[in-house]
Parts: sequence; C-alpha cells; structure tokens
Amino acid sequence: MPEAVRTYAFDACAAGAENSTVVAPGVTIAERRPRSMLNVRGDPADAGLASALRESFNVTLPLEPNTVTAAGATRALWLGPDEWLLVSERHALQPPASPGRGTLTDLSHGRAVLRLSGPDVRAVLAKGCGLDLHPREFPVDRCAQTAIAKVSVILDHVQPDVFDLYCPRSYARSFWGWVTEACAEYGCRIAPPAS
Amino acid sequence: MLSIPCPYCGPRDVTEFSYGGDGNVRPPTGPDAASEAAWSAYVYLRANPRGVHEELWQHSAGCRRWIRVTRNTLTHEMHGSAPARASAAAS
Amino acid sequence: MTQRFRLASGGLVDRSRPCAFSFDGRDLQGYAGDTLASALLANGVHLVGRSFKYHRRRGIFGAGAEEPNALVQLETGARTEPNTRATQIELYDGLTAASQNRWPTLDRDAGAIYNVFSRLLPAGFYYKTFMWPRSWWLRYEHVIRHAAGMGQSPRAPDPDHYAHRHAHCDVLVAGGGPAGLTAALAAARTGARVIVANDDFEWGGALLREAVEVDGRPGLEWIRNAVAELATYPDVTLLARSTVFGYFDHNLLGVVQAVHPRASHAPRQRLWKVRAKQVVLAGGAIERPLVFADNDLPGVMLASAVSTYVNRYGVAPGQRAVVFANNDSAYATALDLHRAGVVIAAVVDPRLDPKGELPTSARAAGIEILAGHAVARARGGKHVESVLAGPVDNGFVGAAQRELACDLLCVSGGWSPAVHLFSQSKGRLRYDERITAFVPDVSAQAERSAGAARGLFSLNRCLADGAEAGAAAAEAAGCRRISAAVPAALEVADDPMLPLWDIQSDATRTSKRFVDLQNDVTARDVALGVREGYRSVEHLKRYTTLGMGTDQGKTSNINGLAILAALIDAQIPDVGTTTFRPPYTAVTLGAIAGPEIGAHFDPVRLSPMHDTHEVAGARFINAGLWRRPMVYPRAGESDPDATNREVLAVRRKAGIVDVSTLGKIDVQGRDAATFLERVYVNRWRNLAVGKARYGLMLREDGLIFDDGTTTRIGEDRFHMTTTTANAGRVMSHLEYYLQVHWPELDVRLTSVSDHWAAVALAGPESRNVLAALTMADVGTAALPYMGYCEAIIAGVPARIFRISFSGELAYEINVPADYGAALWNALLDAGRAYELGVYGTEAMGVLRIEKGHIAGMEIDGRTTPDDVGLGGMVAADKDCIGKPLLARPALRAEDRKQLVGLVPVDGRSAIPKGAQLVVDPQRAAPNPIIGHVTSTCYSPTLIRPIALALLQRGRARHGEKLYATSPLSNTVVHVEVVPHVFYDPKGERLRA
Repeated sequence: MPEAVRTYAFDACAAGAENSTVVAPGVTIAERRPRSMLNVRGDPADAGLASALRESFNVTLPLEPNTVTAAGATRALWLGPDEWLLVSERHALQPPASPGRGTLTDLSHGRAVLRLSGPDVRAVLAKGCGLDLHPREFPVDRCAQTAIAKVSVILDHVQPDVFDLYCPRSYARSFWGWVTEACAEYGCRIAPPAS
Repeated sequence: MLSIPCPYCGPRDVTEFSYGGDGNVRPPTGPDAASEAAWSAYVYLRANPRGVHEELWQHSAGCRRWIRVTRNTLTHEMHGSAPARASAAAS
Repeated sequence: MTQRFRLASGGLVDRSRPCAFSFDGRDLQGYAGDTLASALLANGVHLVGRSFKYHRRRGIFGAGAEEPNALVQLETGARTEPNTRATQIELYDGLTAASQNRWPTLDRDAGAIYNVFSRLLPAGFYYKTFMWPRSWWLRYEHVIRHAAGMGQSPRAPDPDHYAHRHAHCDVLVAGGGPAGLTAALAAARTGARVIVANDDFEWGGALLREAVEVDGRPGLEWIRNAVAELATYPDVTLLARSTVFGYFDHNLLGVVQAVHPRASHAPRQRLWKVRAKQVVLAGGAIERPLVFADNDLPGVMLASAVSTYVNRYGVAPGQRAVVFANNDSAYATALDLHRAGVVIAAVVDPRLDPKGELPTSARAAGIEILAGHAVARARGGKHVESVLAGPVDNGFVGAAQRELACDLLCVSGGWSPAVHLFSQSKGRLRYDERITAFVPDVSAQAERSAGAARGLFSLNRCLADGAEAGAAAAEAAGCRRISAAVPAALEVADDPMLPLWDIQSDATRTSKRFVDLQNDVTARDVALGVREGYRSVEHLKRYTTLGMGTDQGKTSNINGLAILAALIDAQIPDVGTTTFRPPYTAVTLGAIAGPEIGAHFDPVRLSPMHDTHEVAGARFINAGLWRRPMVYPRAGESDPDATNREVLAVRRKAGIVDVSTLGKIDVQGRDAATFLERVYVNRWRNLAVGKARYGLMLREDGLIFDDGTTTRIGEDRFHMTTTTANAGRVMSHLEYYLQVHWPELDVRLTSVSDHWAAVALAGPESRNVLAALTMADVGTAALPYMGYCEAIIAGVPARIFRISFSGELAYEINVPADYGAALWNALLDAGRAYELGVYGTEAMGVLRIEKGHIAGMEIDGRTTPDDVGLGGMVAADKDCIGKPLLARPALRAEDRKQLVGLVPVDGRSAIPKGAQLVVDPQRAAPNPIIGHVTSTCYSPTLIRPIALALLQRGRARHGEKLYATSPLSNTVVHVEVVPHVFYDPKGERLRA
C-alpha cells in the first residue's frame, strides 16, 4: 500500500502563487507547516500536568494570559486559563501517558498557519483585527485568540514584525484570499511553505 | 461598538463575544426544583433593568470563557467583569 | 487666462500645476490645491444647482463641510457619486462634475415652475395633499421623487475597492486647525500615541483663511512647522482628507479617509475604526447665515467662506461686495476683500456702534459701515445685483431703505461650535448667550472639546486651549505631562454680537426668507408648522424638513431654533436641539461595506476533500458557511437523475459522502459520562468503551436542541458529534454549563471538528471496500453495529465508527484532515471493484428520509422527543437539561404534532415542500391546519414520492387520507399517512 499523500490546507492557493521577485515587499506571506499541534487542557496548578509537560517537551506553560513560552522549536501559547496550544516546528509531540489531571489532544491538522512578516505587517493585520498590535501593547511572545475578517484566529508574535496566524483548517482558503487581498496595497511577496 | 472587559484578555470588541443573558437567574433548587412555575420563571421571565445589570457573555472568539459582566444598560458603562463560575460558586 | 476671478497672486494653489476639469459639460481650468468650488468661482461660476423643492437657482454658499447648496454629481458611469460638496472636492486634472436637480439644464430648468406656485407648496404639503386616495401614494411618490431630489446613484457595480482599518491611540484629535494642531503637538510631545484627523487636504483649518500671525510669523509657516514636527513622532498618525464622522460607544470613532493619490491596489477610501483612550474634539465652528428676503440668491455667501476663497485660493468671488454681519468677525472678510481689490459697497451691521478692533480697522481703511442697519432683501435675477438695507428695529426694517449695488453679499450671523461629535458621544450641551450658540457642557465619554468647537473664537485662545486640551488628554491617557511653550497670536478685542434671527420688512412679505437652504425651508414654513401644532423641535424638523438632508442643518440649526423659540415665546435653550446622529457628513456605502463584499462577504469553510469534489464535478450548496457537494451530476445528467443514481448506488452497492462538516467534540475527564447524562436525554454511564450511541439534547425549555452520535473511545473519553448547523452552538452550550453551573465536574472539552476529515461509507458492499484498505478486522463480530475501532486505513491512522444515517451497513471514518483527500481517493480506488459511487447532500437527504431519520427540518425548535417518535429515549430515572419543562402540559398535550410519513395516494404526485395538511382542501378559510410537511423527496428505492410530516395525533392516524396543500405552488396532493420509517423498519440492513 503506497504511503498516503498529505494535502496541506494552503496547497491549492499557495502553489504557483510564489513570487519571490517582488522587491522590498511590505509584507511577506509564508505558509508554516508545524509538525505538531497539541491542545492542552488542565489546571495550571496541577503538578502532574506540569511535570509531564516539562519531562516530555521541556515546556513550562505560560500563566499570564495571552503570552507564549518558547522552548527550542516548541512554543506554548496561552489560549485560556486552562487551555494552551503546544506547537512544535520539527518534533512530533507524543502526548505523555499520564499528563496528571490534564488532557492533551492532537490538533495537528486542525489549524492552518500563515506567517506574515515585514514592515507593513501590522497595517495588514489592522485591516481585520481589532486588537492593539502596537509593539508596546503586543510585544514579541504575546499571543491572542481573536477574530480577523470574521475568522477565529490565533495570533502569535514570534519575532519583531513577524506574526504567525493560526486559522481553523476549514477557513484556510477563504482566509488566504482575505490576507492576500489585504496585503496587495503594500506590495506582497509569497514565499514557499516552511516546515 | 462596545468594548467588553474580559477578566483574562482585557478589553476586547463586543464582536468577539456572544451574549448569554441575565447573569442572575439560577436554576430552581431545593423545593422549587420540581415546580414547573419555578422552571418557567427561570427559562422565560427576565427583568429588563434600566441601569446597572449583571449579565453573562462568552468570549467566544477569544479565550472562550463565560464571564459575568456588570454593565449599565442605559449608558453602557462597564463596571467590571469576573469569571462566570466564581460568582456561581459563591451563590 | 480663463480664470477671470483668480487674483494675481496669493493663496495656496499651485499655479504651476493647472488642472483641466469640466462642469455641466463646460471645460474649465483650475489649479492643484483648488477645490471644485474654488475653481468654479475662479471661473466666475456661482450657479451650481437648483434647490430641492422650488428649483431656485443656488450658488456656492460656504467653503467646507457646511455647504448646503453646492452638491454636485461627481464623475460619471460606475464611479459617479451624488451629492458631493463642491467645497470639499479636491480638484484633479480631468475631473468631471455636473449639477443636480435640474432639467433640462441648470440655467433653464423646467422645475423652476414650482417656485411660481410656491404658495401652494407649504410645509407639510406632501403630507396634506397626497394622502387621498391612500393607495395612490406610490404613484405620487414617483413624480415627487423626480421633481424634488438630489443626485443619481451609480447604476453599475463600483469598480473601486475600500478598506477598513482598526486603530488604537492614546489621543485622537478631530480637527487639523489651530486648536487641533496645538492639541496634537502637546499630546505628541508627551510620547502619547496620537491620531490627528483633518477633513481637509490642507492642514490649518481657520488659519488657512485668516491673514494672521502666530508667534510673530505668518500663520501658514506655523502650520507647516507644526505638521512637520508631528510627522517626526513615530507614534503620531496624521490623517488628512479624513473626516471623523461618528462618535460611538466606549470611545470608538469612525473616520473616513479619502486615499490619495490613487496608487495601484490602494483603496479609494479607508474607513478607520479608532478606539481612543482620550479624544480632543477640535472641529471648529460653523458660521451662520442671516435670514432675510431672497437670501438664497447666487452671490450670497458666508463671510468666512469668502475669506477662504480670497486668502486660501486666491479667488475673488465678486467685484463689488456688501458685508452684512451682526458680529465683528465678518469685518475681517471686508478687509480681506478690500486688500484684494474688491470694492466694499458697505458693511451693514445691526449693532448701533460697532467699535471693536476689526470694525475700527475697516473704518480706517475707508470702508463705509451702516451701523444699526440690516439687509432686508437681496435683489437680482440670476445673481445678486443689489441689496436693500435700512435701519433695523427689533428685526424689522422700515420703509427707509437704501439700495446698494453689489455682486457679492457676505453674510455672518455669528458662529455655532461644531458640537456634532460631542453630541453623538452623548455629551450634554449648554446654551451660551454670549455667542448665541450651544456649547459642550457635560461629557459622557473620555473627550474634551477645544478651541472654536467649544466657543472660543479668538485665535490666541484657540491655540492655548488646544495645547491645554492635548496635554490634559495625554495625561488622562497615562502619559506624563511636560511643560512646553504655547504658541500665541495677537488678541483682537471684539464687541459682543447682536442676535438677529429673522429680518422682516413691509416690502418683503411675499418674498422667501430661507432658514434651511438645502431643504428649501423658509421662516414662513416654520411659522406655519408652529401654527399647526408642531411645537417640539423634533416634530418641526420632520414636518417642515428643517435640518434634514445631507447637511443636517449645519448652517440652519440655530436660526431655526431661534425662530421657533420666538414663535412659541420660549427661550432657545428650552427649545433644545434635535438629536445629532452619525455621520457628521455623508459616508459612502462602499466605505462602510469595505472589503466585506463578494467573496469576502462571509468566510467560506471547505472540507479537506473539497478539491476532489471540484474535480469530480460536484455542484455545491451553501450550508451555513460551508460549501458542501450537493450532487455529482455526470455529463448530460439532470440533478434529480444524478441524485437517484447516487441513492441507488448506496442501496445496492456502496457510496461515500463527505461528512467532515459535522461538529466533533472531544469530551474528556473523570466526569465525562456524568456530564453526558446531564446534557443528553438518554443514558451514557452504561455505554461500553468502544461503543457508539445516538444522543438527543434538549434546550432548557424542553424542546430538542440537537442530535448526534457519541462514542466512548476511552473510559474517560467520548467523541461527540453534532449536526453541521449547530456545531458552534452546541460547543458554547456545553461550555456554558461546565463553566457556569457545573464547575465541579472534571470534564474538558476540545473542539476537534477541523482536525478530522470524515467520510461516511455506506451500502451493502461497504464492509468489503473497507476491508480492502485495512489489515484490521472489520467483520461484524469485531466491529458490530454501533461499534468503534481504531485502525490504519490506506496507510493513515483512522477512527472507524459503525454508525448509519442512510439505513445501510455503514461506517464513518475519521482521519486527520490533511489525509482526508488521500482517504477519499483510496476509497474510490478500492471501491471500483464494488461499484462504489460518491453521493452528495441531496442523496444523503433522500436516504435519511427513506429511513425516517430526523434532521434540521424536524428539529425545528418546536418539537419534543416524543413528537419525533423518540420519547422512549428520555431516561426516566435521571435528570437532564430540559427535562423539568418537558413535563409541561403543553408539551404533553394529546393533540401535539407527531412525526409521520406521507405517500401520495396516486403513487406519483410529488408532495410539495412546506405544504400544510388539511382534511378538506375545499373548505373556505380559515381551513384548520392539522400538520405540515417537513421533508419531501422522490424515493428511487420505493419508486414514488415520500415525505415526512408533523401531524396532530399523527401516530394514531396511520392509514388516514389527507391533503397536502401548498398555496405557494398552488398544488394540492391527496396523501396517505404512513409510519415515518419507509425503508427497512426493522433495521436489518444496518446491522448486517
């Protein structure tokens, strides 16, 4: 039996749209293909959960709302007072056998991820996002769940002027259309997917 | 557009929230638990206060918490918010 | 040199950059930096439109947002925009504009006949005249709309696009004049995040029209320096061509920005939604006209507007002017005109002894001042030719009148602060006797007004007031106040104004004294309205149209209130103002809609297998935000034929359908089973691991909320499914109970809807197809009906649920979404040997109707479990959401509608959608309706039409014959009531 082909959410829109020729783009769009996304639910005070996460992934959950802790290629995003998203670029995160009283649910295929970067990235996001993204208010390693263009999006400020946008997989193509249109006036480069 | 203070995420636009109604109604308990009238009141009867009102909202496009918001229905002034469960547990 | 009225020098126009434009087909020329209005005046064109009701000639009256007359149709074709103010249109090369409300031409307008019969068109004329007979209103309206009106909407789709932009700041400054700029500077210097919005394309506001100095330097130089300094702050956003049009709750302000120049991909306009910690309202003040006979003639203009045309645009709007004012400010206009070489025939001033600095300067310049006088009437055919002025006593001008020849009459009745945004913010106004105008008093939101917007009309005080407002706003927003020098201007001593609201004289009884130029409302109309009982200002507005229209009474408001007050013997503050509502000036629908048009009106959700459906030629249907394959017609095949083929493939062989849209919720925790027992009507504790069960959820009111299959995939873990339509609502509902009412339960919910692709594989051959793709044992012993297992299918880890919506042997297979297409294709490949087909939502619907399964049409928010034949599911020995009220007598009444099947008596007539069930279709209305059709289709399996219906006491009526009547399609079908399960009622096939 041949190995199953994996079809990424942005395959049909990103393929062929890459245009690395755009000079000095205001925004660059690149699809991200994190290896693993794991939803964590539980009580942050639960020692069992905390130690399981530390031992399995070397991750400490952020307790301050809307912040991110990073450990190597794994980021832990605060989603709610008892909910986090672990994202690993490279590793397949295997849920530990006994995560204390918490639960870990694999959502690696549930969200599609775009990375937007460049000097005009905030101007583009502000077209659809009501959050205050000024660097003082929304610095690096801050995240938020919000709605952008009526799509539920997790926003992660990974580096200065670099944002990762996680949208539900079913919205990916529609969201791609919105993002590329919003970027157009600033000059937009579409880079190949990064995994 | 109202700005609703989420106790976790801070002020967010009302478009991120869904309205959950009067925060003061409680399902009948004790002797009332079997009373149809008490259940009907719980499900259907609502005050429509002019002024300060405690109501439930869900931060549905954010942290998905149900929260208890104290809002002046006349002026939209917000008098704070708290996780919905804290007050529910206290009552 | 075509611009006859352009002064030899001066102004901010760029004389090296001519702009050709056309107005009503005439080719004209102006300069970059002109507005359309200033360019028209430079060419001697005053007449720009016909009035709304009487079709009187109207000329350019103002120089900004207050303009009531100069509304033009800008551009043509798809880009045409009606009712744009010529005074705010930035001139560009190639601009085309046309006048409105005239036919056939502006100069010879047939509608001017209305002016002749104007005695027959009093206030409330339409209400009085066109009410009989009532049914004729639509015909009248058509004629009225043609005669009275504004411009034309574009007929073609808008070729431009519009953007929205959210913004946050510490201080939003509305206004780019002296107070606005000093406010912005003061705030910016504290490090605050500042947005400054200026509706003009030039910064400077009133300074642009005043020949004055700031800090001993020319005013224009100060503006340039202020704007240059603001531009150096990274956290300052300067928005020119941007009107703050609305002040909404919680300090959210709407700003519409004209994006210029038109770069490629740039939107035409950008609508900003600014959430500001603090707001400084520095929108200045609006000059008021004076009310006298024929005060609407072209050539009658606001004095400040005339100064603007002279000083800012280098245009003289006339050659011989009369200035008529009850205050000092218009003397500056007289001096401006005088300096520009325009003859001042006289300044007419009702005050007996004007001796402020400006009148004194005018006198010194040799300008004649007619003190204690008023203009009783303007005279002229197409344009003002002279005015009649005489001594005025208590608003009345006697017979001793002097005629002053002129081609320009500058009027000023004082100034009204632009309190529009303040009032929109719900702030309370106060009437200021000194300036006879309303000023901001008590704030309702985090804002403050500065400068002329709060009644300070001296430049020096505006500069200081703005600086203080900006510093205070920044401080209130949390920034540290710093001390800085405040710019200063010379204080000009002025005399108090003299209120003068409605100037009458014996000779002018028959002439019109306009209060509201845009809506053709005269002082006489106001008096008539009052006589007829419209004494409330809000009623008077609706009855007379005073203050309506696109300018919303910017120039007419106070005059109208004062005239009303005098008529009802009240004080102006007691009369009050009408409510100020957004927008301050008109906003295009394009800007409001922004990018949310066409494909972006709503987001679209697509299944992971969407592209394979596209390739297979599916026709899609919108299901909420989802696009689902409805049917896969082959070449030349009709949709119904394709649906029948798809249904029969499932019944005879096998088929696959994409069910990825179903809601999927991972329910985990030690109390997961307890939780399910509370939210579903049926039992869950006794469900074995590896087993699925159909569940029914109620709302608190006892009616069915949603249904779906939930599977115990671990001791403390359930995989719940919901209907596609209710996926979001169910999640919210469950979170509500867990977080608000049952925080003690150890249950955690995770929506996994988007993580899993789901395919239903159904039909007698489905097990063979499945077995071909997996090593796992999928035999009926290992995986019985309502069983569950995990297996590798086609190389992908999958969850297999043996559940059936179609009534056949069936499996629902879930794989991680990125493998959905691979699974689909593998099923097609493996299925080829078994004649497997694909099917869409139509066939899925037919299959479930044949099987009598309920769906959204039966779960319509009005049905109980018993109504749909599932009363037995409600566990008697436990409580659940909705159970208490399910016991209500009304929900247990004998005559409730119950789910039944229907078949046509003739075996072939289709049962109409939404049909009502009656005993006797011939009976006269009201014909008792005893039920309704919920779902209807043609059953290719049973080879006849079938339907599901809700029918009073339906289960007791099996065998009865009724009529399904649809007045919509005008059809009546004789039907027989049958049990609602048409196909395999014993369920042998799905257990196979």
